[in-house]
Amino acid sequence: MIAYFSRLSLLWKILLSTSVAITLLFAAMGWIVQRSAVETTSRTLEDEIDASFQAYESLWKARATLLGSVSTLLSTMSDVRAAFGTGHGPTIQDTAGELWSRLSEERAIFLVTDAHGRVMASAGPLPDDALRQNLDVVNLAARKFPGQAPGFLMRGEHLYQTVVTPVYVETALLDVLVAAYDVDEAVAKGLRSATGGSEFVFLAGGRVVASTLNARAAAQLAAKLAQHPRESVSDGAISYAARMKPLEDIEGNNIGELLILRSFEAAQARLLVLRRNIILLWLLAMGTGLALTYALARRIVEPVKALDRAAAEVARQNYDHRVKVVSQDELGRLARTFNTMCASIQQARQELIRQERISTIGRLSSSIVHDLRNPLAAVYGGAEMLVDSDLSMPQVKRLAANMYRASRRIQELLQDLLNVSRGNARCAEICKLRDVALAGCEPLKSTAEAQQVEVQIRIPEDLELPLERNRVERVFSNLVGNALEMMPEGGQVSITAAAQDGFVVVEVRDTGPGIAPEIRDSLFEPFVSAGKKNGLGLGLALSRQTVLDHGGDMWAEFEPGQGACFRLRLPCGNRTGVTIHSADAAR
Amino acid sequence: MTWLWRISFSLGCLAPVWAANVSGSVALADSRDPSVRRHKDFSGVVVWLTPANGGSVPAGRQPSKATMAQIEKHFKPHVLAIPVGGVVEFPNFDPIYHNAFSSYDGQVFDVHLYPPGTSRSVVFKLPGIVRVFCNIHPTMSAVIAVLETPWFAVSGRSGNWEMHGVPAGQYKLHVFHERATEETLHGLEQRVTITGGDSVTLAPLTVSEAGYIPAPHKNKYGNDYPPPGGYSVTQ
Repeated sequence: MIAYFSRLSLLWKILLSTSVAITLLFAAMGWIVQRSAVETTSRTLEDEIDASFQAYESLWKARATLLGSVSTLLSTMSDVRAAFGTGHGPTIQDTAGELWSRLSEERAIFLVTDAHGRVMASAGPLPDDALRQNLDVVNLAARKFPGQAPGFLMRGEHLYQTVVTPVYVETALLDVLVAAYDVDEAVAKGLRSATGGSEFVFLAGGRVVASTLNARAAAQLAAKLAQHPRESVSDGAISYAARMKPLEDIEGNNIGELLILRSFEAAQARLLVLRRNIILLWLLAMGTGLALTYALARRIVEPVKALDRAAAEVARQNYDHRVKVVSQDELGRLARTFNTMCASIQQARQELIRQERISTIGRLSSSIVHDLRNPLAAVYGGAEMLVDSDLSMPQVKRLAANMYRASRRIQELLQDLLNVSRGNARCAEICKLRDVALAGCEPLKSTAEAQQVEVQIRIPEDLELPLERNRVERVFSNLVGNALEMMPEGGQVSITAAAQDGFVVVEVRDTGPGIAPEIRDSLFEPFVSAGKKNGLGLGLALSRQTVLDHGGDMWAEFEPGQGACFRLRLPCGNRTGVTIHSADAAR
Repeated sequence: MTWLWRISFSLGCLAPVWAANVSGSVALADSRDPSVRRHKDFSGVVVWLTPANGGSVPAGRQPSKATMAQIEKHFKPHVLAIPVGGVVEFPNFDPIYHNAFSSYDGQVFDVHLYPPGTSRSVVFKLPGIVRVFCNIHPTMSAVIAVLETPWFAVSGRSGNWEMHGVPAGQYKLHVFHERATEETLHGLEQRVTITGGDSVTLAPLTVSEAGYIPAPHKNKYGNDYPPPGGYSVTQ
């Protein structure tokens, strides 16, 4: 993931970061807002259902009070009492019914029974004949006489809210007034409109007697609540906050229940609208944010891209490339700094080239001087001996031959230099290593003898390698020369060679004091020397370069208490037909 | 009914020459009653003659019988005139119990509640205006004028009235209407002279209802009936 992210372009990274930031911000904000909305909504719902409950209570109480008051009034009116005294249904109905309809609401039912509950007269909209039969409720209410007895009554298929009022003559119970409201759909709907949309379900006798919901849903909810009483319930489609209230008959027995429900639907709809608004705002913010970020990021990324291209040009050593400065901000300053840096690099490089040229000239001069010194010394020494000494003919011939070889060496060196400066490739030739080593040691022979140093060359005769003869000769003369310089009091220098795994390893070992510890790390660097009376410190550097040019390597080995030991590894170059035999030969 | 009229007419012919049929008409004025204002219903005015100058009323007549039925929660007729000693029947033709009582000046009586299809009768021995009510139906009311004279009449819807067998002589004409004040009625009293002849037509009368203030009557226990507009129940 991180690797994938790191592969994305800067612009995409910025856009991705912006969208993630906006999304996170909106997710957090949405979560907080929604949480708060849900809390508020559920609190509001609780309040609403409480209010509904209170509205129901007060409405119900008012109705009971109205029934009670009207009943009381009727029971105390002399003409009504006189009509009751006849015990004649039509007369009672005529007298009381007219009054009842005037005094009470239209939907109220009014029954007159005798002391035993036999119905003598009725007024109001009786839903069925069940109420005309003997009313046991009168006998039950008799315990509360002479007071009124309110309570619910289940009769036939209907539930009634009733108030039972006794009518006395002197102390004898004359009649009983039963005032009632039929609790039906209209009542439930009235309650719903009075409470601003709460649903009411009246349950009695194990079924729904009145409901503002459809009967099936109401029964389902009631069954659920009967199993697990709780504060919210769902009919599968809609969730409700619920409150239950027992319905008591005249004796205070529970004959049913009122279920007050408040739908979560409106609240859920509000939440849905809120969520939709948040998502719309999020989309708007994303759109705006990404557009702004894109515009801004382009302003940042374009200069960075320009710098990237410029850096690539610099990497291709095009120091003339310059970045266009388009702004005065950090990026503008960066571009200016980059341009200044390019200019500095260009200047420094030109200076370096100049220095390198001078340095190259110096190194070349040093190399020439170093390599020319030995043969010149041979020519100089030979000539001096010829001038100053009386020498025998053989000695003169030997001196002349030495001088000839030295001058020839000088000529070859100059030719090499010419070849280098002209760019001619040096070509290797198959040489016998032993001959090359002997030739390299030849100019030093007299010096060795003078210092009583024995130079042993133990290289097999048949060991042949492709070599640049002159340069490798100078390697040997350099190494032996160094050894001689370190051993003015006499000693031994041995040169051995052996073939190993397609390479020939040559070892040059002396019995001198060894290599000084302070120059061991920088032994092969130019201009490093220790304990030498003369010399530029170029010998080992040039020698190693020669070996490296041959595809081999050269290194020194340090053994405490031993003299210096240099090892050269030169490739055999089988493709050139060189044969390598075992190192069994002696010098 | 035609034969009744014929009998009456024959009796009129057989009557002594000094007995006459007296007729007249009344009108109601200044009334607020809709039936009077819209339909010119001038019924219910009682007119009777008493001998002037302290003349005596012939005695020994058979006590008369009259009927005041209770139909559809109304007393019918609404106004009845009977001589002293007359009997009034109150048959109940409604399917509900009714009552008839009077607690006003005049004769006080109460027939109590009696069932449908039955009747109660009351003998009115005291002269005076008797206002009749039903104890359980506040809208029911009637007037029975118990008069110490045999010469009386109650006006019909047109306001015409007629009394029979009035001997010639000096009389005092009395008028009663339930919505006329005492002063109005007193002012309408007048002397009339009935001369010989078959019929005498008196000058038309106008009874003004000005000054009449309707007052709700009490039930027989002296309490108010429930007001017709309904109670306002305080909770």
